[in-house]
Amino acid sequence: MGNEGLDIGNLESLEKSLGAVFERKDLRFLVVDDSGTMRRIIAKALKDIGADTVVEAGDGMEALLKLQSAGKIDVILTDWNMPKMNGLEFLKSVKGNAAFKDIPVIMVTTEAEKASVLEAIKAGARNYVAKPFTPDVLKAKVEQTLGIAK
Amino acid sequence: MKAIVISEKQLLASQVRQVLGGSSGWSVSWAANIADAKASIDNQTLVILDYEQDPVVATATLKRVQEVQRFNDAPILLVGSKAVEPGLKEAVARGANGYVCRPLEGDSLRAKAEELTKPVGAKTKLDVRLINPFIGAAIEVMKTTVQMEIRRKEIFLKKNYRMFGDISGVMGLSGQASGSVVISMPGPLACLLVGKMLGEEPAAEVNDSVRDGIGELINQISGHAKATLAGSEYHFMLSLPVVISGRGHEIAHRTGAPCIVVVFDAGKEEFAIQVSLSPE
Ligand SMILES: [Mg+2]
Repeated sequence: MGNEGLDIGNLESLEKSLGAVFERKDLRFLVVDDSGTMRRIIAKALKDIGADTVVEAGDGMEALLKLQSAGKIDVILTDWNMPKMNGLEFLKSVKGNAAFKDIPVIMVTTEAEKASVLEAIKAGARNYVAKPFTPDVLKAKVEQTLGIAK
Repeated sequence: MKAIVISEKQLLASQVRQVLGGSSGWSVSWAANIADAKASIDNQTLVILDYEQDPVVATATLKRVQEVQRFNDAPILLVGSKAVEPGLKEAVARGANGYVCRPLEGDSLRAKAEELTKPVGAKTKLDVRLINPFIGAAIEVMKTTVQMEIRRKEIFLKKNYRMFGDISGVMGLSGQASGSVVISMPGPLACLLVGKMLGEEPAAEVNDSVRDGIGELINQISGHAKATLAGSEYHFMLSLPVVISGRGHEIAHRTGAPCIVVVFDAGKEEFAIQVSLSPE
């Protein structure tokens, strides 16, 4: 089929898929964990699945400030046990703020008991990754959250 | 019960054997110096150190005894004359566990040996329902986060609160049960583990990044054990990890709680998990 065979419908779907590729290339994450080691491990996994920018914060308070200044954020990954403001309080703040409430939040935490998972989901968490995790599990949960699961 | 006597002369060992041997049930061995003692020091219940020496030599000897014992920290009982008593007291401040003066009296030696070898805390029994979740958690976290297979070695009730690693991660536990859990290891092993966590070359020495990684390890181990203990009398809440480094540091535990130590093999080195937890 030559160029003249392209119709408008095909162009639209081509644009759409190009758009998806572009969207995926411009993925911006906020990673909140009081351990710098964990932030680096998570950031590395996110870069593997095409993260463009990973903004880091060491506690919930710092994360709220980063949210104000960082521009568009596609997904937030947050630890639970942190000083100043813990992950659950941070999650509730995000969900209570009209500007940020639609950003999906994934809890990445050592709090692995059922009661904790339920509490976080009830507060609006979209997904849950229990520590310890392998990078593959984290990547799969992030892709699932973004709706780009293979 | 096994005691090793470290003294240049064999006389002290014979005297101790007379007192603690026989019906008291101790088997007593003798080593002329640290080098000789090193091979058998790991499975001793008590180390008896002749402290009748030049103060500088004595101090160095005590430090060496503490170092070669690693995690299995059998209490150290010093023997010296009245004349060196100030030195004996100083040594106790630096980590020896007690002293008796020459001439040796059978009753006081026996009483001191029993006092020092009694495990700390009210209970003297090991509760597997408490310790197994921590052992499982350590193995799982090492496998998943560090990508290292570890093997459990000995497990024992501790007799004092000193840690023998260069670096320890401490997690305070509160709630229905309270106490603490500690991971302690030599500096090079800490550098290796954190390097593996990050998929990077290990740091040359313990730095802030290594300390952070060890804090996260104890965080993950505590959290994993917490989930297993949910619904039991040992269920607890986590605090935030604290990391302490420096050789021979001491970590205070909740008084009254028994202190269980589990030693693990990690490649060519060892590390220990120390759990001290009791239901309210
Ligand atoms: Mg944390």
